[in-house]
Amino acid sequence: MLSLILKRLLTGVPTVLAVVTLAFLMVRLAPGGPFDDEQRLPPTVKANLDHAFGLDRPLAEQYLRYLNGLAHGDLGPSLRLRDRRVADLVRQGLPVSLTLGGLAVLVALAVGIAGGLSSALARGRAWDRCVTAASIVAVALPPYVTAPLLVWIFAVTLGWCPVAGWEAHRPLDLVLPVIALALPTAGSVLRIVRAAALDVLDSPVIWAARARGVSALRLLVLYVLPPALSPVLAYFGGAAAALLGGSLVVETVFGLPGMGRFLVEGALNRDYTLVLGKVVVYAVLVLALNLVADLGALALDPRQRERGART
Amino acid sequence: MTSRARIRAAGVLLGVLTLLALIGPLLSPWGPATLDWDHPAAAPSAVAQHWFGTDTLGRDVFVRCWLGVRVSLSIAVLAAAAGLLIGTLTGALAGTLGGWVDALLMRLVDVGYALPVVLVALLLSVAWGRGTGTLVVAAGTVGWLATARMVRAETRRLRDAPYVEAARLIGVAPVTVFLRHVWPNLMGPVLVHATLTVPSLVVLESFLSFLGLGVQEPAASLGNLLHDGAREMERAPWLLVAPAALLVLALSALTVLGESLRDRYARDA
Repeated sequence: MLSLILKRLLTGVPTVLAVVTLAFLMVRLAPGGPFDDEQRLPPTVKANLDHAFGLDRPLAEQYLRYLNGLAHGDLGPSLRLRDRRVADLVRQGLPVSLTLGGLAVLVALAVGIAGGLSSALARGRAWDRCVTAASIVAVALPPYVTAPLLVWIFAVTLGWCPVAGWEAHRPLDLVLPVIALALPTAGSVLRIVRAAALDVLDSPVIWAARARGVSALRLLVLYVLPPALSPVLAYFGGAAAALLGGSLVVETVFGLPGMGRFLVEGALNRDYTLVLGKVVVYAVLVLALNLVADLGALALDPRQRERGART
Repeated sequence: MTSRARIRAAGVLLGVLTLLALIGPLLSPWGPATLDWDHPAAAPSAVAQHWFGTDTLGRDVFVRCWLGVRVSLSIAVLAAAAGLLIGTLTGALAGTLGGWVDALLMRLVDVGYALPVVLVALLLSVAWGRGTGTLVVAAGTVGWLATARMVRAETRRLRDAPYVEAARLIGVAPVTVFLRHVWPNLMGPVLVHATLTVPSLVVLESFLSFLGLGVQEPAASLGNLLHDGAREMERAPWLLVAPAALLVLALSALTVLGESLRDRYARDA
């Protein structure tokens, strides 16, 4: 287990470096610059701005400077949001996105696992049919459809929840965004768990355990759950990163000050450092969550532990 | 439902959707850009022959919805095909050659996974302008990653299969081994995988169009129809409900089809 963590740290650093390099090149190769706006700046002002942010230096030098800052945890100044450091913006936005995304991941896993297991156990019966049908619809409902619909139904028409906002940090503010964000993931998890659980239920292991008189609860928790969860883990890393990295649509619709808008705003305004800041955070999230998923796989599957011990 | 019946039901639904996407706009007396000044933002009605209502400009939602389905599905299929080609070649190369080529290509895939799609789409649209072509390329650049991983795993599994080993032992040239014994066996899982990729690309396409990065007005796609619908939701809910329902139908059919095919033909993949 320790060797896996070490190996991932060793391959993780070059991966983040490659992602940053690629993103840096892509952002800089795109035409336009942060200071050519609708209102034309006098050339001297623009030159001074470029100079102040180091944009007049050779690209290679700018790249090395950025990496040097990154190594020291400095993501540079935002080029468009005056007097703001990107690291500070991340520090403000990330907790909001992580809270929202973390809750959505938990809800998706809880609903998906419970729904998937229960529908596999009720195979072919009414409950299974309802849950399976609901899961297909859930998978097909992206947040940009559900978010406005939820606002319309529960906030505008019924008035149960606030329409948007986060200033007061009311838990009720998060209910609708979490539902909108979690729904498709919950549907996917449910379908994966159901398919895997059906496979396990048909296997001789379960017949043997039943024949030995293992209690129903024990059977479910110790025999069915672990193998049904391992395919979820393969899916989990990328899906969780997408939820935790900040959803532009959900955060915009519900007025949550997270990291979702960094990418789009940054890229459209050529705020290079803001874009790269988000790219770095996202890359680290993806790698970290994949590591978590692999550690989970090790914990669930003794065969993998043995294989890992041998190599 | 048996898997056979499920495949058939999903196939029929998909067929009907495709057919309507092709001929649906012709069924209505209204053109996609015709402005009906008498009925702006009108609710669905049979009398005015606006079966799904009209938008705020008085354009017929029925016609625009089917055009949107047509555009969204063709973009997703095109992007899936592009991603499939690149992914299959990369995965097969990595799986067959192994060694440093394998390591390099798979690290490349890791990098791709760690790069947000929206960024790629945004920067492409900045560089090339917003439009359908950009969208296909952006969607294709993410579509190949999962394919490459899957094909690589499958190739490695096949490499150790007894008949492949036997072919190698009797001295069949490596290229022939690959083309005759590995490649044909890759096709099944790849096609199943492709069916499962299409719905995720439909979502991606409509997401990017929703952000305004994809298909541009006056052309319709499910994404920009949903975007307009979400804005007018309180005044004209049919603007949101109609494309949302079509999106859900298309995605459900594609998902069920892909999963049933997988369960039937590619259980291990």
